[in-house]
Amino acid sequence: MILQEAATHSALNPIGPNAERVYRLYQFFLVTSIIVWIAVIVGLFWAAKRHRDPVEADTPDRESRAHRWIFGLTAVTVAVLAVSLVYDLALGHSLTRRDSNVMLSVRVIGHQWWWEVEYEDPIPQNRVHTANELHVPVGIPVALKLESQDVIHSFWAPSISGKKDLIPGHHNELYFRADTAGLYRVQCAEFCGLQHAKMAMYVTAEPKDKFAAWLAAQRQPAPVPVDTLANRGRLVFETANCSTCHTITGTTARGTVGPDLTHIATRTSLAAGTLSNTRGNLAGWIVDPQRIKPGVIMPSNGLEPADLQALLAYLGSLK
Amino acid sequence: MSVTVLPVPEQDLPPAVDPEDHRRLWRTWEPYKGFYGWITSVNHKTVGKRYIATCLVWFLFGGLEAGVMRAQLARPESHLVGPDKYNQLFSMHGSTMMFLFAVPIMIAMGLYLVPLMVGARNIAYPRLNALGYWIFLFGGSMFYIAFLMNTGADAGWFAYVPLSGPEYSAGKRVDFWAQLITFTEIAALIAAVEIIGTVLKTRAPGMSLNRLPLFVWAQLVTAFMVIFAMPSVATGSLFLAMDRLVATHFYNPSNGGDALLWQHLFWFFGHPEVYIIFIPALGFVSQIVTTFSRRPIVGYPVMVLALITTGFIGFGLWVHHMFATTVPQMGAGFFTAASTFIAVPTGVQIFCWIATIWLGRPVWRTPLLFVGGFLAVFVIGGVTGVMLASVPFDLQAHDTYFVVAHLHYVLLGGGLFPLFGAFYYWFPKFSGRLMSERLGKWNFWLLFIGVNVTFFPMHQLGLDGMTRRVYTYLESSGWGALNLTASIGALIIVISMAVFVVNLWISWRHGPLAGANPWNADTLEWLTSSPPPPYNFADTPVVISRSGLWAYGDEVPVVTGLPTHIPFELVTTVMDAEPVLQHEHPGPTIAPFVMAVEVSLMLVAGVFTPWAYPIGFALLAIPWFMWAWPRSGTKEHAENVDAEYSLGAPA
Amino acid sequence: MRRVRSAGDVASLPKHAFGAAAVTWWAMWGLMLIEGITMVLVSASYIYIRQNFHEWPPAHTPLPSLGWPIVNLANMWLSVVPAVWAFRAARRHDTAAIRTALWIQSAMGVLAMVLRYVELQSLNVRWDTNAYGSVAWAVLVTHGVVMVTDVMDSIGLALLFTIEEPEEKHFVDTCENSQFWYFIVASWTLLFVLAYLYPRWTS
Repeated sequence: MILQEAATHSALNPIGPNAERVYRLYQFFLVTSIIVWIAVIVGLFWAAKRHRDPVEADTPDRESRAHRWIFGLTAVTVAVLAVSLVYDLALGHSLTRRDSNVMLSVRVIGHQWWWEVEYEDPIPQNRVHTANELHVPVGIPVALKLESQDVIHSFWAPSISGKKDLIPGHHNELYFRADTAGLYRVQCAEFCGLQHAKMAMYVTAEPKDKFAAWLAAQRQPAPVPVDTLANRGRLVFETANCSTCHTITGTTARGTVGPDLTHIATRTSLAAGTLSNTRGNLAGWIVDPQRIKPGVIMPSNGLEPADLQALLAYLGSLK
Repeated sequence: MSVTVLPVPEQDLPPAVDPEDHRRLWRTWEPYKGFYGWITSVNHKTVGKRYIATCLVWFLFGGLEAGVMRAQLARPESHLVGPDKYNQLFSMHGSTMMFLFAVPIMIAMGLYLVPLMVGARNIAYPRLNALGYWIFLFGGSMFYIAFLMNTGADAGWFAYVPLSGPEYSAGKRVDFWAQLITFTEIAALIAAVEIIGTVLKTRAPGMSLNRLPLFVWAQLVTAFMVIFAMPSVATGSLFLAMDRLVATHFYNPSNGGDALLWQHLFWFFGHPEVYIIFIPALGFVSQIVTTFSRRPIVGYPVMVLALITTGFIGFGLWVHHMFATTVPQMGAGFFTAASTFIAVPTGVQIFCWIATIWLGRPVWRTPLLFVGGFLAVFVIGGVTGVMLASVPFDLQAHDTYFVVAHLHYVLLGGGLFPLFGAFYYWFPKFSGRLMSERLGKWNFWLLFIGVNVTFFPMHQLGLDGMTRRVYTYLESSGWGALNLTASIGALIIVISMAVFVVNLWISWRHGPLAGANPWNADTLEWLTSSPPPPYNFADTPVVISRSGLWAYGDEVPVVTGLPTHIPFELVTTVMDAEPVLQHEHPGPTIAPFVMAVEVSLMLVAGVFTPWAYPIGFALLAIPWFMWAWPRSGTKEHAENVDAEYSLGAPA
Repeated sequence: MRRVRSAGDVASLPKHAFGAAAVTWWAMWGLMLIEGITMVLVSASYIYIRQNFHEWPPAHTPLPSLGWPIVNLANMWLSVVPAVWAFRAARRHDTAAIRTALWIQSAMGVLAMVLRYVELQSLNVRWDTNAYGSVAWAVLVTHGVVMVTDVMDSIGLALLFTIEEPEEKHFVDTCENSQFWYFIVASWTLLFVLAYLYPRWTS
């Protein structure tokens, strides 16, 4: 039922230059902050508990000493803030610059509550459409073009990079590089309605050749089913509700409301990072998505058990 | 209406040159009796107390909502509440705490205290003040009645479009939210005008601006911030309401509108709002530190300058809420710098308070304890604030539990702790009785522990990838333990609040009598009795030093001669507070109540039909004329009283 | 218990004052500040939304007409005359002059409100056509609401000076009412430029 994929998902566990450098900035802030906090608390205790003569009087001398302390500490505050400001602006400047070596450009379009993904290519047939997953080659700078079809979403893969919003009517770009192969979780970070909590996906960072193979496979239309059960499943898909919303290339299913399912069997998760992609989970999702993601646009489907088995066999064959 | 026997012993009243004046003044300033008196009162203390009590009720509601959320999040994949209810809960919680608790209660404390602290008999515009309160009460009630009917706000307290727009939020939930903004913004603007008028024009003679108590300065700066910030959210929420009601396209990208326009309008208000909460709290801290250190504050001019600077820089930060939307480099640099350096004026104030404690002889009563808690908690929120000013770091932390932790450290540390200190400090003035010290210390320590146990783990949760506003999380996320810790912390906060309520309840009835000045404090409110008589001061005191009461010897210099048979107060000049005018005050009247009812009906109807506005505006003429038309009889009454007095009749 | 000592007697101070000495004058300024800021913000929204379009007014949207808006602008400028008259008459407590001036001012105010309705038609775009229409209507309506409140105030004062015997404070009110009207005329002059002339320069 529950997704068990161990995916890295923490700003404290960086695997790319963006997240890495922000992590170092954070460590600088953290150390400075601890020192500042301790200094204030020690100052307060010292002021409260210092030895006081029973008949000590306020003298102008003591008061001017206090003034000198205040002045000095203010100067220190300004200096510390100035140092962090310079560090921070310099880092910000280098992070927002577009890497001139960007070799891969991907459109990510936000929907309530899933991600549409399109690998761009000058040749239209070479474009790849998928959903709720992103494969990237290790060590190659990637540009994401972020758009939204409905409300504001935000793309956040903390181990890889900071977040960027997907705003209807605006075009944002996010540049990053993943340096270690692995599975990284992405979470929608801007509240986007009922299922904001369950709008996630995975980034698979893999070696260049493996990525190239994946991309080539994704360009193919869906495989034609070989066994009769799967064949019947395809018919179910095309004739039942499924095709109104979903596309499977190579079939008559051309819906665009929901995710493209052409290679669904190759994906890590179902329902935008909510379930692991197993046959049981898929069955549960098709029959009653409202139980798993209440409010999701996909309706419940009262399929005959035999039809459901066929459909599962077909979808399972979409490698 | 006539008072022959004073309701309190004469020796408990503020000193008067002619003690007989008390009898006359009481007769003049006394409200009507019974329910009619209740809805016609225009006394700033009555209105202020109601305002504070009302805010505390909303605070309780907002806290309960937070409690349910923490229960839901205590375990992964919990089914205690579903996403629909959860979204309403956090939207109601945020909107309640910001619009119905934090901002109004800070202002309400000012409405009660500022006239007393500047030596005035009432607030500058008493009827307007009553109107503001009724609007606030009706607006909050509307919001909660809607929530009970499953029409609670569900798009978050900043209700980003297009999610809150007509296409993605059907029903009336967001409309009630937008209307709540209109209600509270009218109330806040009224209060701001009150404070400005009161502080600038009705100060006691001799209280030149450089002798103004720091709390009054804080309220003055806040009032100006309200005037500059509130119209922005008013404009924004009106655009939103019109998009939803009459199909305008302010925020509709497919017809030339812009989703980011909302964010600019909202945060141009939303960030200063944090300082609208925080600056009055700084004022509380300054008064408490002065009183309990037994010496004047160190660096008064610097403190004033710091408040004003904070007010100005507070308007240069709003874009740091929008870094993730992509902000041009130059712009981002400016907003980062402003957001970083706003720490300086606050830092200076912290140094001045610590220096004051160092030079003084601190007495660690509950109010000062809360100031200590304020420093410990707020500084954590302050340093994470500097972190969030950084664009690269913000892009990681934005919209995660790190920000949830930060904002609660700032608002609880910088707002709630000083506010509780202020309750303990001024409760004797409100009620005439002291609060229990023992329960106060329990209240403090439980709150201090609870706040840290609840919110400290959230920093870690946020960096570990937990985004805000999620109704549940997967078991595989590994966030279970820290969330459970936070939920236990929330329980400790609840217990602390229960201790506070018990303390309030017991002390109101049975607390030890306080007398006029239980803390031996220096500001003018402690010159009059506790609680003060309806007219605050019989004779207006003359201020001879920044240290207020501490500068008087055995004798308090006062000015005499204001009429006693009609409500009158002294008007002074803006800078030097030299007397220039005797100003007549209106007596109790039902006009503000009627007008508030009319405006509220218009606004509630405006949720459903645009016709509410033209009709409502036309009908506004009725309460308007009730308000402004000279009441027949007032003059006659005054003349009669004149005659009576000239005959020397009353006993 | 402290003793008190009289340090001065204020019984001889005046009970009414014109201008900044009066408490109500500050409330009026507060109100003008709030409304002025609101108008600035609506104007800023206008400019912000303008940047989403290549042309302004957007393609297929006609320019606003100028005829009636110019008539109303002239009416509002002329209405300053009775406002000044009322102000001066109030200063010298000339009840008869105040009465006449206030009625003329009220009549011109009502005329301005009627013409504001015509001005909305002269925008030649509906509020729900596109974002340009929405924000142009917002500019006119925001100012219109403020204007209505002051016209109501003028009529109230005119009635009062006609029916009742005025009290001292009503002379002060009359002055403040006039000053508020100056603000309304001045702010409209700027908003007129934004709503009616600016689209002509940029298109």
